[in-house]
Amino acid sequence: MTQLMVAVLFLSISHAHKMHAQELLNQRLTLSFESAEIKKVLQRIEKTTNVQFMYSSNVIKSTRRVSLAVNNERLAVVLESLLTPMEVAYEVAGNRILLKRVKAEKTATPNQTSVHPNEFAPIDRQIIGKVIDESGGGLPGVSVVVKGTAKGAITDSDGKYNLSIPEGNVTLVYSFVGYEAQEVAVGTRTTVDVTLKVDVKALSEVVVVGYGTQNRKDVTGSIASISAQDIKDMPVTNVAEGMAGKLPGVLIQQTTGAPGNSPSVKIRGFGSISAGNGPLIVVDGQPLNSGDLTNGSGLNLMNPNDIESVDVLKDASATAIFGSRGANGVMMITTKRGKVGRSRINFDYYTGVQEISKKMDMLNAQQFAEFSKEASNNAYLERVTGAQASDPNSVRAAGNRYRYPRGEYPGIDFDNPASLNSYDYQSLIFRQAPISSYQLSGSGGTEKIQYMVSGNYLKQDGIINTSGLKRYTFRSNIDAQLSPKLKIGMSVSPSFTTERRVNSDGHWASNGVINAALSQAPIIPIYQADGVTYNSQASIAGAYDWAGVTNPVANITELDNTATTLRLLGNTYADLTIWKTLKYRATFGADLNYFRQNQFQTSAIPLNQLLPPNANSGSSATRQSINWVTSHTLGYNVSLMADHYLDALVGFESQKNDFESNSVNANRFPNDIVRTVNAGVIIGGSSLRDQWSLASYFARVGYTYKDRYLVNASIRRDGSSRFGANQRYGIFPSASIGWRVTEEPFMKNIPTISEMKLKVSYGLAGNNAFSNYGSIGILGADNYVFGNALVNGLATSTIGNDNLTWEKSRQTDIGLELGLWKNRIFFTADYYSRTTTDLLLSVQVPTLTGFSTASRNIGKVENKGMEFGLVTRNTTGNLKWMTDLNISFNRNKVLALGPTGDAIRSGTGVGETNITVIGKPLGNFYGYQQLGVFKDQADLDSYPHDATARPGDVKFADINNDGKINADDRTIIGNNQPDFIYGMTNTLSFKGFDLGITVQGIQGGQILNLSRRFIENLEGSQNQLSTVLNRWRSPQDPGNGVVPRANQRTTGNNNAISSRWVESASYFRVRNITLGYNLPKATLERVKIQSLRLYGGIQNAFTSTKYLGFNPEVSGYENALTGGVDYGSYPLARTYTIGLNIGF
Amino acid sequence: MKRRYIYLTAAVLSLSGCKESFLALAPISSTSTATFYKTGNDMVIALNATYGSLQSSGQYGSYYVVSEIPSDDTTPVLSGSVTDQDEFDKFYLRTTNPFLATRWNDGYRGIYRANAILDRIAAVTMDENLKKRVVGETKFLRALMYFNLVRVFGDVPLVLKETTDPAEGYNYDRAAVADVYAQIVKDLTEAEASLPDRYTGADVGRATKGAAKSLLGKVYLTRKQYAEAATKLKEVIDGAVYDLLPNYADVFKAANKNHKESIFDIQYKKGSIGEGNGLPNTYAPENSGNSVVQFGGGGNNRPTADFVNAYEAGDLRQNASMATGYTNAQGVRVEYNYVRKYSDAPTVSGDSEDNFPVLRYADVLLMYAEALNETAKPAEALPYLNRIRQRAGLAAKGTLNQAEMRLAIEQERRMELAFEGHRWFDLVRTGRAISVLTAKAQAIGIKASLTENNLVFAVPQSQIDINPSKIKQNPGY
Repeated sequence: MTQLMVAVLFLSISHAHKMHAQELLNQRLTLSFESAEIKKVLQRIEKTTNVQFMYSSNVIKSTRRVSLAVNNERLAVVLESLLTPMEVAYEVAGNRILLKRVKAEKTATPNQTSVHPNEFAPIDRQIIGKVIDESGGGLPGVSVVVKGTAKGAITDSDGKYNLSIPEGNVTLVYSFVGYEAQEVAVGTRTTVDVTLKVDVKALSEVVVVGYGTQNRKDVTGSIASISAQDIKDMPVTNVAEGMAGKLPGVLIQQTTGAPGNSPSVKIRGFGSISAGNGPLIVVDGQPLNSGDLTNGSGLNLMNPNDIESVDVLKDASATAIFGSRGANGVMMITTKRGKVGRSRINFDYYTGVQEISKKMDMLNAQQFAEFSKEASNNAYLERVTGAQASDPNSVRAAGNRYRYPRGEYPGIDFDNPASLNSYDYQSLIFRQAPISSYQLSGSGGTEKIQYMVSGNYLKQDGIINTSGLKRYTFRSNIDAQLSPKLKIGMSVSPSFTTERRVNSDGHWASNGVINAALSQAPIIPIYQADGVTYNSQASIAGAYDWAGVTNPVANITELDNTATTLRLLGNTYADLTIWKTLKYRATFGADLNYFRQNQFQTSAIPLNQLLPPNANSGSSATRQSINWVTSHTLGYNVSLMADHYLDALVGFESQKNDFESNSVNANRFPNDIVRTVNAGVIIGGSSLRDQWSLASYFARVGYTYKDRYLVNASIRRDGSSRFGANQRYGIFPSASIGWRVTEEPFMKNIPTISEMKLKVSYGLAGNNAFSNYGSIGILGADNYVFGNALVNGLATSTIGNDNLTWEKSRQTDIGLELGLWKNRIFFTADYYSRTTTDLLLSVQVPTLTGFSTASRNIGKVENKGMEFGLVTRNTTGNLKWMTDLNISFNRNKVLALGPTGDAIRSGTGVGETNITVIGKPLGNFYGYQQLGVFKDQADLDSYPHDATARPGDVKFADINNDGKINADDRTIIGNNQPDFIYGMTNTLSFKGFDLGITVQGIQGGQILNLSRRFIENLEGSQNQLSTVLNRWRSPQDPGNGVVPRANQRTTGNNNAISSRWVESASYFRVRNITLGYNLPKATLERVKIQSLRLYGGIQNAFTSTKYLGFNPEVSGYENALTGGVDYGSYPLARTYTIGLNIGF
Repeated sequence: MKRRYIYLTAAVLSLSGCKESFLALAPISSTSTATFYKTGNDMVIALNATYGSLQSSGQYGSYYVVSEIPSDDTTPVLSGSVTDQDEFDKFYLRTTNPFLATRWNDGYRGIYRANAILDRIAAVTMDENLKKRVVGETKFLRALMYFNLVRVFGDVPLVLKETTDPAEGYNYDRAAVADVYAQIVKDLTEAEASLPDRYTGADVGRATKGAAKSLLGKVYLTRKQYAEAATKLKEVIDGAVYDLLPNYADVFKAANKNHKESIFDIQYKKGSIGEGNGLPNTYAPENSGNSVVQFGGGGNNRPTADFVNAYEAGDLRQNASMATGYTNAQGVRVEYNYVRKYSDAPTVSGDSEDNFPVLRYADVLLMYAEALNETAKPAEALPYLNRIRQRAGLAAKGTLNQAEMRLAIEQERRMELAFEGHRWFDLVRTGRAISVLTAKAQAIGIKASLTENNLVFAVPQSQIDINPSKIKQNPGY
């Protein structure tokens, strides 16, 4: 029993190793010896089980003879029966088993299980020392072995060891699972202290898969992983942000910089059109609401510091066990758990400042005045016979956009540009914004109970004034071994977030901040003459037929928008060992989300065309979702005759989500002081509830022969409430095989190749990220008035489809893993081909049916790609330098669409901007192709043009060569999907210093920059990008041949969706640079601190891009059909941070 | 011991059986089609929503874009690169124009609702009188919707049954104009027979017998079936249900709505219940703040100078219909022609009380005069024309020949029914559109070379793109 406890102890210490020690002892043996030398018996066990015994001849006389007969028995039992009669105990460390004499005083208390040197070899010379980790904490359980012998010791719970070594040149080898082994020449020293470094590669030796874990070496699917180590210093509020550029095949785009928003995550391209394209997120085995599939928002309220690892399942053999939700990949998130041993307290803090990484280059007042005047004159001169540019406003007819400011309003005279004041509205809305994070965590445990608790406070101000986020997250993970057969555990993570939102992305007419700041003419003062009342373009717009652009500063300060989210994510499990080989696990998880939002718009805000005071208004909304999931699994694993290993699992799961929302709107508040809706007059409200449910059975089996031939297979049957009554169930099978070539005898002669594995997988996964009642015909309200009173009306708004079912995604993956020179170079490559059929499509139907769309399972889309990863340890001496490089290619192609194969045309608020056609990728930009600008009348006469075109207007290509420019000349003008994505992380360490640099980028793909329909429309009443300085002015001064002429009344269809707005989406970004320093232990010991690390970093340090907008990762209408359209969005910040980690 | 665990596990596993009821979740916050169209009340609610569709943008919400902007009465607000309304005004209509799509889509959405009622009502057990009336109202609405589609697009698909499978949508060709009108006449004739003369209380605003007759008169007039038109319109006049209000301005006051002169209105009601009229804010001048209508305006549908000049001196209707400028908050007069027939002060933007008149008695009188004149009875037409003129404070006309009478009626309709969605269709109906607009081309800024092709608008590109084998474009687009 004692020995078992010891084993449990070490099992738990070697956290990185997870269940390894247990697995080691669970290996099954069949042995039969009659009066054999104990040495031979141990050798035989070594041979069949991949363990190594360490013992001194003092402990066990190797010539001693034993008899033993076991049949398919666990190693632990074998050792017990073998060793107990000899009064010998054992301890496990890594794959080593240390044999020692049982001492009478030994107890179960872990602190007293240290190994005493006397139990080992004859005393030649005593060496003492301490082994610590990088944070300075003592490392228990490290094996210290005299090189070339079996002599050794294991460190105690403080990391101390005591060992006798023979005379002469002795080298000690320090090894511990999860850490890089170290060799130290002792020389004449009597004290040898050693610091072991975390072995980053080894950390991911165990990967989390659906309903269990797998050894990395046994994995036959395609799984990319990231550990806490990889993201630890980044000031990211969402773990996905920290993953950008680090995982092959995973495209992470930070489409907005608003605090509290999450990046979009796509794994291996777009597999769907109308349903979600984001991965399923599974936290500690608990699948989150599939409503969170899009954009990883389920991760928003998770503290990245609590995350131990993220394993991204990419191919169907890994995801099929998640059935109807696996098609877009799965992100398996594992949170940190307590470990047996000394309690640790850590305090982590960083603080920093964020600033806008790029400002747009807009016109100043003088440039604007010249441009605007030209635009008015062009409209006037062209339309009015005999008109002269010198004609005063009084001569120019009102209401025709012929007039421009000429001193009618004080200080605004475009004929005297030098007199104009210039206002830089970008500088008025952006600020340097602080960010800080405070985290206190404690962990530890005994062999019976382990715990990890943490609390974090994050305060992030946004770079747009007043926006910001405060987040409080807590986590408590507890595991308890109630009895030898029963283990239970619980994770509870409450969080609370307060967001102060700004309307960053909206149109200026609806008080969008950025759009207003860019569009507001730079001559408009912020305040009216009284210096207090907000001004807007409306103050002068009427006189010149201008647009009444709202005031960007007021749009921030006079709109309160506070959102709070309270979330409780929790799960419990119970593991019951029925037989040694058969385990039952029950889990129950819940994700409770409660969201409140209060908005108030004061009377001081200028509205579209309206100067203040305006009617104030307010609203209050709540949303609640309750999601529960429970699963029950039976796992069976067994080693047969040493060469066979079988691991099987069956289980079922059910999950249900219940969503409710309420909202109330009010206006006519008596003043702006009380801002809750009770103070106003309630003018409306709504309440809504919906649900979904999922019930599933699944099974998985893995078989390994001689550690070199690997087979895995899984199957899942899902039933979902979302689908038609006739198509409620689906079956998702997968299979994969792997071959570890390096395990073959013939490979042993090629020492250069340390690891080589080939694998192939094929499987089917589904996608059900679709509306909850998509299969049911729904009536919507359309009320009317009779007798001067409201009457209720109901009409069919969606047409039902009893045959609606999930999308089916079939994926083949072929992979290679290659390690050279003891894995100093480790290379991975994957080829995949994924075909999605039965696409859930909101198909456009002829509207004469009464409907514009209907939900169908139609269409087929393919993603094919290659992913490469390369990890190299360039230097391993004092200066350690490691490089992690990855590059991924994906090609997306639509193979079939709709009943007649018709194109899908989709819009983004300004009419049709995108088209999806067979043979091309999803979501192409659709519009006219700009050839240039009509240079002069001769040029205009020589080429087909819009009826209204004049010299200086845009020259569009006559695509169909019919001599006319009309809607038939629209064509595909770009696509947002990249040619390839890449990332590289270099980590260097030298003595106490460490440096990490992550760069990443996207190559290929375009953005449709629709913001330029405002800020490069050449109309003359809103501010413009400085690109308009290169506009066409006259045949003699034709500009750059791309930007058309200024004109208050646009002609030539210049601002139609065209290639003029299409820009390259390629960029290269230095995502993160961090420099850290670990203070020397000697200094710290005096103040009783285990470890102290200081660091500084820059996030989004540098971006190289040709894109004119704020951020080339933008996607204002994130959707497979309309990705990469920029209609103004919250820019990204560059963040400078300093931080410290203290361990007590 | 071990056995106990096995039993326990087996018990838990067996509890889990995924019950069908766990997965069969019906919508909680919306009505499912499976449970609707069962009772008389359901049918009335379905009918209300069919009326409700009249308020949609494509039907009467932005009716001015297809009925007034193309005429010589109004011109759109200038809005830079957004040429959607300008294309109607100046006749360079692009087939992707969003107003075309909404006109088509919203029209058919309403027709779908009507078809669903007509297909299902026979099976519903309900009061037979109510059933008869619901059928009559529904047919009136379907006829009105087809009338507006056929006048805008020419040949249009004639869908007369509820769509149960979207794939059916690919089967429809565009039906000939004559066939569409035949159906309209059939529907209106049947509606007329089953509708009551008037409603009281909570039903005021529903389609009446008079509305069906008036619309049928208008349809006959459009089809140049002048005798039939005269007969039908005379029935409305003789029915004595309707009469002119003494004061023109009162016709448009929100407080008076559903008065004696109104035959069929689109009903609106303010109060943030989603039933307000948006036209006051749509028509108030841009950047006019609260000076014209509370919450500012869009400056749309601006009366042209040609229209303003068409008023005879002393016409009482001018001031009730439009204005040529306003005084802003700073006390400065801003020149801007705008429509003010609909000017109830909204409580929130786009939420006014004004009804929109579809059929009113003045229209009936003028249509009757037109029908008489076209059947060569100008003298009989004259009193009806003069009733309208006299109310407007204008002198009665003396004897006119048929040609003079045509022009007099045209002029009177223009001023009397201004901004009520008539002018363009009147010009097309009387065959005067090309000559009138061409003559004024320079003054109102349209292209001079109007042809017959311009008299119907383009079929929305999206509907051709989706079913190119059946839905073809009109000539000239």
